[in-house]
Amino acid sequence: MSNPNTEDFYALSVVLTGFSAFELYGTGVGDEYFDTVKHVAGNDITNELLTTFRAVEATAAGNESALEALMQSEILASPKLGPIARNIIKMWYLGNWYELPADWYAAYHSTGNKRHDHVISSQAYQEGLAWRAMETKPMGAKWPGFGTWGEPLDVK
Amino acid sequence: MLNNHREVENNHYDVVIVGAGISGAILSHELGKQGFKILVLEAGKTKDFNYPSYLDYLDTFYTALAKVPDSPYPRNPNAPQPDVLDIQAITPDKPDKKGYFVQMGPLPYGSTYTRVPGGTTMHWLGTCLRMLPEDFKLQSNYGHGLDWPISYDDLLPYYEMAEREIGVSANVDEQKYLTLKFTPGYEYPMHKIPQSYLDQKLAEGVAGMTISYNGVEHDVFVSSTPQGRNSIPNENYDGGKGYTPVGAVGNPDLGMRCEGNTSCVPICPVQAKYNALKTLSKALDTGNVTLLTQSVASEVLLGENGLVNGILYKAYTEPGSPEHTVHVARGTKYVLAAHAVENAKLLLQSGITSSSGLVGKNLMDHPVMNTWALMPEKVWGYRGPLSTSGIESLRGGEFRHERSAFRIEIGNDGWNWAAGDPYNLVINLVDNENQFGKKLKDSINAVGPRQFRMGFLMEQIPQETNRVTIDPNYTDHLGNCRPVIHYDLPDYVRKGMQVATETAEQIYARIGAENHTSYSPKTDATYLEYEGQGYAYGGAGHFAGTHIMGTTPDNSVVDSYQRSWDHDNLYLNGCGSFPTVGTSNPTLTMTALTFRTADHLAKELKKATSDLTITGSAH
Repeated sequence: MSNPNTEDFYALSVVLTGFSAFELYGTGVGDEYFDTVKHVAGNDITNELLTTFRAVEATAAGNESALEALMQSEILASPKLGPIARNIIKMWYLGNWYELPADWYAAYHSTGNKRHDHVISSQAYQEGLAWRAMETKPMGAKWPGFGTWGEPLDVK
Repeated sequence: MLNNHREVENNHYDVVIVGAGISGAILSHELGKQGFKILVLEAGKTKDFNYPSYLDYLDTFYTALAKVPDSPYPRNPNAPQPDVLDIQAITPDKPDKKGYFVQMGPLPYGSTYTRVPGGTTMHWLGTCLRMLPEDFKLQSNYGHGLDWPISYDDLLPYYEMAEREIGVSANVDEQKYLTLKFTPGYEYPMHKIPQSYLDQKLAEGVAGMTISYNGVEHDVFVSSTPQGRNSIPNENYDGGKGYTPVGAVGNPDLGMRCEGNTSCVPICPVQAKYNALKTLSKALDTGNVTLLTQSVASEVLLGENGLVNGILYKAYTEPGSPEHTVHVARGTKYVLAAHAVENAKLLLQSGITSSSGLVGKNLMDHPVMNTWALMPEKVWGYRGPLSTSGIESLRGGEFRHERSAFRIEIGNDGWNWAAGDPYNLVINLVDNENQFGKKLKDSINAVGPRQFRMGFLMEQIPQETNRVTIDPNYTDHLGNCRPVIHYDLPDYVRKGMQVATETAEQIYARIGAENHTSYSPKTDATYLEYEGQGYAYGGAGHFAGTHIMGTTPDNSVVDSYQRSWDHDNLYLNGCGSFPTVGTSNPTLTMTALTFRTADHLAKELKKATSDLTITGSAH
């Protein structure tokens, strides 16, 4: 079984998060996230997820609404792949891994590594995309500087 | 820092202080610089006073799943502390023993403190409002609670000392609302912290607003909050001498200005916020102060004439191991400065209940009733200090005959404290609404930048039934008692929450904000009801009242200098001495009391020395 491909993981992440590859690579934590997925889901399921994604991408052939529909039906709605995909979104947005339900392990990956809810790393917390989506910065990091909080952030 | 207990036991100190938080730090510095020999016993883990060591706390914070107030300060079974995560609704007759506190209820006590060098100032917000003059006479003025044995005027010079030591930023002209007064010409050390964009929008929205309580109109306006946080020095401070901000301990060029992290609670990454390590390091520099960490005071030993003749403490080497050695520290004077709950616990554990019987009783807090809403336009919260302004104009008035006063803290933290966002926001959108990609991003963007909070800090009045007790069935790793807490909120406070809710609704309506406040017994451990409506609160971290000051040994535990009525050489320093809490965050007032106690202690120590000299010469 070949090792899951990092580029595929980033390509999937771009679609799942709505952020560009440039921004995702720029966080510096994509590899940690990918490692976490492989550690918990194992290579087989990870490959299945990435292969399914590439097939969805190819079928959609650049059509946005087709891509969205197929992502929903083939990945997010899948009882096997959906929970992993949603965890990937939450990792990118929040820097946290959330424990997968026991019945997921029972059904698909009984020998899999259990990981409880945890912050993936110090840097992962700081690179959470949720803050960027709110046009702000993480609490306790990336400090904007004295007095800047008095200004609006409209880009005119 | 010294860990040679034999040396300590062979010494006789002028003052033995329990606790290296802000009051222990200030007392040891004030007395140490006058040449007195001071020992400070701190239960918490040894920490180097340098910035790399502080960065450990920051790292712990970044990797903490729940960023609660004590999240940067690791759990220590030998010096346990309460944790917000342990709070749960209490079943009648079933004590909640989940955390360090044994909560008897009926309501959970929601606050937490930290047992590390620097104490709870490591995670405090830094708000430095003075109490109102009327707060000191709640009983005489309004027929509720108690009166202080001293007045605002008595404390005024000490407030100025406190504002200097902490380094408070404010524009004095903005602070003269209600009956607050200042020494003519007084200036704060630093200019006010710039107000947030949210504050400005709120201020515009409430311009000219009044609210009616029992037919009396009260102005509603936004004021900048005085805070212990570095800002631009005020060139007019101290008769033109000016002020130099104190930066990070061990890295003084960092933290000269607030950088807007919004993580004040629980940690300031740059130490622009005051923490007691800044005073503690000055205390150590006097050369007269010995700090003994990992030393848990466990008994106040009484000798003849009710005088204290030692503090027994347990010294451990590893936080994870209960192995310890036992020692006794001796001094001329003794000060308990371990915060309201630990002070009471230590006294009770030593069999000291005071002739008033009030040790541990009158436990108070400021229950914080959070409300949260969306501004009509983006305000881009999660920037700046956690709070830069408040609505302070409702803190006093005739309504206090009927119900609690409150202050309003304007939160720059979006819905983080109020609703656990952005975490709950993202989780809900992903898991429950099945959103991803650009749609998810847009959904977050549609609300996130408009989120804000108004927290109502309710005045809690003293009641003897709210108390800290001990029970030999509940002990910690080292065999010290765990605090057993009995806590409830009377109708006086609940009615205040009812009025607070109505006030929030009126303000939100006026500024066109969308009110999203909701309380539920399913999600709020502190859910309570009043006249058919539900409310909830969080702890503000404002422990008070466990050894109140008063006018006689029957009505109080200490006098206005925080000296124990029963034990002449024992002082109980801290918010535990407050007979009432008013509506202001208590640290500033406590610091003022501490400076007053330091003055008193110095005089008493000099008297003790001259008494000795006279006695000596008689031989």
